[in-house]
Formats: sequence, structure tokens, C-alpha cells
Amino acid sequence: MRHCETASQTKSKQSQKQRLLRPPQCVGGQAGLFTRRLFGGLEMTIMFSFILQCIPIHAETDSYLALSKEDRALLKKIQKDTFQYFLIHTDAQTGLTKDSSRSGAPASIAATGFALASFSIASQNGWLSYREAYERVERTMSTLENRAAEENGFFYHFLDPKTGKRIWASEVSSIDTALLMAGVLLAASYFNGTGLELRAKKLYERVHWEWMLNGSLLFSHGWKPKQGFLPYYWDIYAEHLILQALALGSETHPVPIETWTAWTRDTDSFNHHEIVYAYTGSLFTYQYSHAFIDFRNISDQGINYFQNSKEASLANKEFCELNQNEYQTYQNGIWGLSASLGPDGYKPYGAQPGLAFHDGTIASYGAISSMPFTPTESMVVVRMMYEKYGSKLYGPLGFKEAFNFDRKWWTNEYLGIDQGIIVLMLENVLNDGVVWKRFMKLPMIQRWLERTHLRTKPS
Amino acid sequence: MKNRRKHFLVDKSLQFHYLLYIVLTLTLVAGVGIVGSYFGIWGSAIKIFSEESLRESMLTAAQLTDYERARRPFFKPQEAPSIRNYQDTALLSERQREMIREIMNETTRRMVGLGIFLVFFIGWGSIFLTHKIAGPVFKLKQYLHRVEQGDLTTRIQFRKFDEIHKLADDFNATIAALDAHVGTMKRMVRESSSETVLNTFKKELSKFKTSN
Repeated sequence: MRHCETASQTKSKQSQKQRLLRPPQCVGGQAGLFTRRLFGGLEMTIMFSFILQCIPIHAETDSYLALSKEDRALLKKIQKDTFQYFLIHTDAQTGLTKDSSRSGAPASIAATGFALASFSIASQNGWLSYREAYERVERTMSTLENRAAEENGFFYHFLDPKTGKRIWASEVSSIDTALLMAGVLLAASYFNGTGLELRAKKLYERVHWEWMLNGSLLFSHGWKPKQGFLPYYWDIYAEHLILQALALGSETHPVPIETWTAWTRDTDSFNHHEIVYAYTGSLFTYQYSHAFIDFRNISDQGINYFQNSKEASLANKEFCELNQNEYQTYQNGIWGLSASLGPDGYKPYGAQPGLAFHDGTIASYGAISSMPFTPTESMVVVRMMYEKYGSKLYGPLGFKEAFNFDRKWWTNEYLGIDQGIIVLMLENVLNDGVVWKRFMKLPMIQRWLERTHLRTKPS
Repeated sequence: MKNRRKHFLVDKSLQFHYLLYIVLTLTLVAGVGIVGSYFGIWGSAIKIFSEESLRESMLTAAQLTDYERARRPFFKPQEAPSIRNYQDTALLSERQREMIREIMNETTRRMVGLGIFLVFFIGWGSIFLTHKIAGPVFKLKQYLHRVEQGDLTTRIQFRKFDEIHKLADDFNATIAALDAHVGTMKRMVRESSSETVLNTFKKELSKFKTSN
């Protein structure tokens, strides 16, 4: 029975596979051929592990959401196609991932973080062999350790994909480093027992989180060599919860506990949805941290951020419905206002509560990445975009970034971070929150929960 | 001026030979430099500033500016055009400076590499060429020393492509003549009476012009 396997059986199978499917350097170690000959049984183990690699490990796991067989198949296809972005747009030498599919785009460290997570997920899903996923993650980590431009452990937002040097005069970015570190730590957790875990920990430990506070209790958005700290701080609710969690959970460079309470939780409502809202009202602000952190059982001063994201997603949907007479794009149940490319460039599209800047442009990833919060409502959009508009919106790497039917505009471009959020959110939806489970077990996340006294309920 | 050089081309064959070597070497060096510079500097510059590349750079500049603006906590879409254009331009020029710096750094690296190669190439070439002269001169000194010690059977043999074969021939002819004269005198001492020897010595010695 494909859907009757218990979670503990699945876990046992996973750990068995992880033990068996070590890359050669872990099986044979430095001793190489001699050791392998001496312990001839290992040859059989390698052969057996190769056979196991061909079996998608999640084939028998279930989603924590009730999805029809057809919906699951479609979401699986979208997730797999979307993942291809990271295979194509990650540099073969440095392992750095391009910000966008456009020619000449720089590498983005946040996209690289999502790529690391995606390679590990691909290995678990049987889209990449364990060995190839390991080698790709290892290559990227080597670049981050030795070549990528950084200051105090924080990396520059945009790097030359070929060399790892800073380009486009970009800033040392706090949130993008946090997303990169989340990807590094998550990816390493898929290769437990190998050297990657320790290397990931070292990369994380060398981040001087307190430096980015610039003497305050709020994280600066970033720092530039000639300019110093940027005059913008993470002072209200946004996608920075992942930054907070990693910084507060650090043993080597922890930030004061007051950092967690220093930013404001402004509340407003739209259509009876009471929301701790982000300034722009962009969907991604309610999604990015949630790709890694399982907020379902966390209560912060009475706020449940998972429920908050659900309310924000529903508000986004209803905001589009209310404006469908003004913008044809919002008709047929389409919603998903989030920062994306648009006919006039990249804009922080969003809904109320918040700034709610919109011009009829829908971000393809918006509704899909809200799937954990609003599965039914998101699935309507996915079906509509795929079945009715698929010829324009769907490409070899999944859904293209955005579209605006009112302006007769749709792009052929894909953005790395928006591809990444789709892969991770769908992994949580399709495989019983596996990313959340792994990430929540990390010691730094546990320390964050302990230090902030966030109340958690058992799953 | 007693020792003034009247003819620069004293050995046309040898000197034209060397002229050819040097001209070929310099042509090679200049050719590598020109081609390297063209493809290294101008090739990169032409590629970087091609219409397609400039368009991509413009788009990237605009997009990165948009990213930064979208993240700021006071996004004002109505102010977008003028500020956006200004920031795009500033960012683009920053990027162009980065690219030019990168080209210069890359060119410098290539030129240093080329320079090191040429130094070794010219150094090795010089040793090779001068050896064609220095080798025979060194050998000649050794042979002259042997003649000084009285060994008139000495004959010089240079390598096939050494440059002063003519000198070797003249040297060998001179030593052969000396060898013949001294040999005649030695044979007369062995085989003839005192009077005959004395006459023969006088006859042979009269062939030599000496200081005393």
C-alpha cells in the first residue's frame, strides 16, 4: 500500500538510505581502493545503494494535506520542472546560482541557498543521484568557504557566478545571507554523517550576526564598503524571521534576546482578516521564512505566524477578487500579488493590509507558494494557470515569473529565489512537511526557540 | 683612425644569417603582442560593449535597482521614473567600471604571463644563438692551448651548424703546414748527416718570417 506506510517506517528507510548512500570519499575515505578491497562487502553496499538511488524515497510518503491523486501528480510535475532551474543556472565550477534566467544575470546568494536546498530535495525525490547531489552541494560550499566575497561571514548579495567576486557594487546582505545559511544548513542535514555537516556548521558559525545590528537591536538590511550600513532596518514584520531565528540561535555570535522583540508587529485587517502585516503586503513576505521554519505550532505573543500567513493569503485572494473588474488578470479565480517582474520592471506587488501596489500583474509563484496555508484556494490558481494559460505561462522550468493579461504581458524569465520557494513549499506540501521537520531539528533553531521562550505545541 | 671599422659587413653570410634570426624573433614577439592585445583587450571590450551585452547590462541595472527599491520600507511607485533612471545610470556606470577594471586586470595577468614566456623564450633563444659563436670560440681556445703545448696534430672539428667553419678550415690548414715543416725537420734529424741537416734546417727556417 503506497500511502499506508507509517512515518517511523519512512524515517527508518530514509536513515538506512542515508547510511548506505554515502559518496565514495565517505565509503572508502582517504584509504581509497585498499580499504575497499579489504572490506569487499562495501562494494556490494555501493552496488545496492546505486539500485536504491533509482527508487524515489518519497514515493510512499503522504502529504499532510488532502490532495487528489491528480493534484499531487500535477504539483509533483511542477516541482520537478521548477527544480530544473537550479541544474541549468548554477555554475558548474563555482556552484553559484544565477539570480535570473536572463543572460548576463549575476549570481544571487539567496538563490544559491535555495539551490542547495533543492539539490538535496532532488536527491530525496530521485531526480538526482545521491552522489551528484552531494558533489553539487560540496562544490558550492567550497566556493562559499574559499572564494565568495564576504564580510564578517555575511556574503555580498550579488556575485560573479564564475569567480565568486562581488559585482554590481552590491551590498553585504543580511536577509540574503540568512536565506543562504538556511539552505546550507538544510542541505547538510540531508547528508548527515558526512563532512558537509561540519562544514555547514562552520560557515554558519563564522557569521557575526551581532555586527549587522550596527549597535542597535534591529538588523540593518546590509552594508557597503564605502557607505557603511544601509539606513534601512528590519523593524516591522517581513521575511526576516529566518534571519532572526538563525542569529538568535547562534552559539558563536549570538545577538541579544531583545532583538526578537525589538521589531514591531503592526496589525491591520482586510475583509475581516486580522493580519500582522508586512509593509508592501507582498505574499513572499509571508512565505520565505515559512519554507524552512514550521510555524504551525509556534506562538509568539499570541501570534501564530502560520495562521497569519494563511490569513494574508486569503486576504490576497479576496483583494484580487474585489479588483477583478478593474483588472482582467484577476478574473477566473487568479490571485497571487507578490513582488515580481512586471511590465514596468520588478515591483513589490501586494494586497491589503499594506501598501497594496498592484497593476494587474500576478506573480506565478505567489499562490503556489501559499499552498501550505491555502491548499484549496491555491490549487484553483495552479489548475487555471496550467490548464488555461499554460501555453503562455508554463515553460521547461515550470511557471514563468509573472504575467499581466491587461497589458498583454508575460515574461519568459525565471527568478532563482521564486523558483526556490516553489520547490521548498511543494516539498513540504507533498512530503509531509519534510523540510520543516529537518530544519526544526537543527540545534540553532532549537536554541532560538529556547532563548525566545516561544511556546510550541507538540505536532 | 687606425682601427676604424671600414666595412660593417665583414662576413655577409654570417651577419645576414643573424639579421634573419633577430628579425624573425622580433616579428614573432610583435605578432604575439599585437594579436594578444587585440583579442585580450579589444576583443573583451568589444564583447562587453556589444549591443546585446549593453542591453543585458541595462536590464540587469534596472532590475537590481528595482530590487533595492522594492525592499525599502517606503516604496513610492509614482516617483519611480526619474529616480529609477538616475539610479539605473549610476549603477550601470558602476558596473562598467567594474567590467573595465576586470578587463584591465585580466589583460595585466595575460601580459605578465606573456612577458614571462617571452623572457624565457628570448633568453633561451639568445643562449642558443650565441652558443653558435661562443661554442666554437671556446673550442678554438682549447685547440690553441694544445698547439702551444706543441701538439701539431691538432685539428679543429666544429658542429655542423656552428657559424665559423671557415675559420676552422683556415686554422687547420695553418696547423697542417706547420706540422709538415716541423715533421720534415724531425725526419732529417733522424735520417741525414749533420751538414745535410743544417742545410735542410736553413732551407725550412727560411720559409718562416719571425721577429728575430
